[in-house]
Amino acid sequence: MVKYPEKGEMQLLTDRPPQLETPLNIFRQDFTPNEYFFVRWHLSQIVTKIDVDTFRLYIGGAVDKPLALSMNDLKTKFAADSIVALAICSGNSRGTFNPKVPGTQWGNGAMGNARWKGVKLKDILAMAGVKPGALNVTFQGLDRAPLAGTPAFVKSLDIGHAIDGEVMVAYEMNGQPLPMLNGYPLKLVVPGWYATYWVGSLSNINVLTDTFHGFWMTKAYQVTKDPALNESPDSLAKTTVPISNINLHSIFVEPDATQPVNAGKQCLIEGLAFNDGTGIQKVELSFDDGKTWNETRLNPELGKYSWRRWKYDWVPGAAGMYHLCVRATDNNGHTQGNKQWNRSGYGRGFIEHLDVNVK
Amino acid sequence: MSNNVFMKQSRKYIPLTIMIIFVLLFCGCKQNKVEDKQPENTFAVHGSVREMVIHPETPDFPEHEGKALFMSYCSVCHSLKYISGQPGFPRKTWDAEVAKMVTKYKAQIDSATCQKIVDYLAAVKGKA
Repeated sequence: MVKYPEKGEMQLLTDRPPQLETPLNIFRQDFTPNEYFFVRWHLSQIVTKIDVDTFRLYIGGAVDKPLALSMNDLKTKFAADSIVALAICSGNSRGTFNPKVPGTQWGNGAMGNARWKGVKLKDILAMAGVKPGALNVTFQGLDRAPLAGTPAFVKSLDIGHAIDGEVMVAYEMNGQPLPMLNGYPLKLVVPGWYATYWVGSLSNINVLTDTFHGFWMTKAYQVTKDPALNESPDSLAKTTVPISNINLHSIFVEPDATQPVNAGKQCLIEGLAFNDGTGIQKVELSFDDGKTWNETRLNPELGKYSWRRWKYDWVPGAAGMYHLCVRATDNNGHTQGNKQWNRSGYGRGFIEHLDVNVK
Repeated sequence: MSNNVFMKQSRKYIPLTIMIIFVLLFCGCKQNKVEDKQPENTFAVHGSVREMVIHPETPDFPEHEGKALFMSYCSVCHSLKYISGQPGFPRKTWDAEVAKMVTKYKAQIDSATCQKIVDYLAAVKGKA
């Protein structure tokens, strides 16, 4: 565990660039405090010093009027918008894939739920005036690679998605400016999509009249077309697409499996379920390896792009090892599968297991 | 004779010399302690300016042929924790990872050096 600037004690995965994981017990709250919110950068030269008075967000490309917006412009010339949304790394839970895959070996803590405040991207693009024929919009932050040849971290969205009224340029999370490690002063928020699109220290937005083919859209963050993001190590998918929507998943947060629980006493089991905004219909627990399922209590919905907390009061009978499974079902009736693997360890979404020692 | 005078005079300085030696030793120990401890990461706000300082750490790696090449080339772009945090992988996985750094991320490593780095990784982070 380490203590990084503006952060509490977190799990350090790498330090150049920094990648920090949220401890699991933090997930017993609706919103993930900024000081415990996971950190993930791609290029090692991240912004370590910034003056918000001189900082500008540049909007260019196929627009009528290129813009250079100050933080003050963003806060005074546009209506403020707010949305609750889960930010989750594509590689969250990668460390639990079997067989193991290379990449940052995250546990379940490369995610967090926050209330984001900022300006609708649609409003910013309207002020710039998108030219007819626009197809893609690209996003880049102030982070750089040490080598000139390393592809710049640029992500893109289709123009229709960019102006859907939900994608946001955020200047606050949970009522505070973003920590520098989370992308201060601006972060792109793409509700329902994996956080690889949520570009931090966002400085450049570019409208294109053709399709963007940058490295981080066409070579990195590629997944199989299978909706469950499942492929076999023996026969990898021949064609891949950029990762996008958050896969349906549910995880255990309590009890802490390293500690025994008491037989005959009530034990609170709790956890999280989430997806891309389709919503969670139910979360169920099994104590008999999936033969029978017991519905949990869902906490009130905080917003369609928020995670959903669930709870279950369990009174274990006799002492012994208990094997628990959790599965979520979305509002379309789609439920989680029994197994999943893909070469990059992206979009974990299969049924999770927890062994609990009852004494 | 002149020798004797020198001895007598220098004797006067013995306590001072001992003291200086002790002070130097003490400072030396203190210095070592400071070096052992990771410096604190900091964050500061000065008016409209925000600044943070992060002190990266270099993890320990096992001694094996190719270690120096691995440590120098692989740390150009990223922390060596990217490697210390990985589980063991078969040689072909390390081969693909190192190749990816060259072809996709444009690391400047010639193929003979790449092979030595792969050898090192396969040896110290190989499949158990």
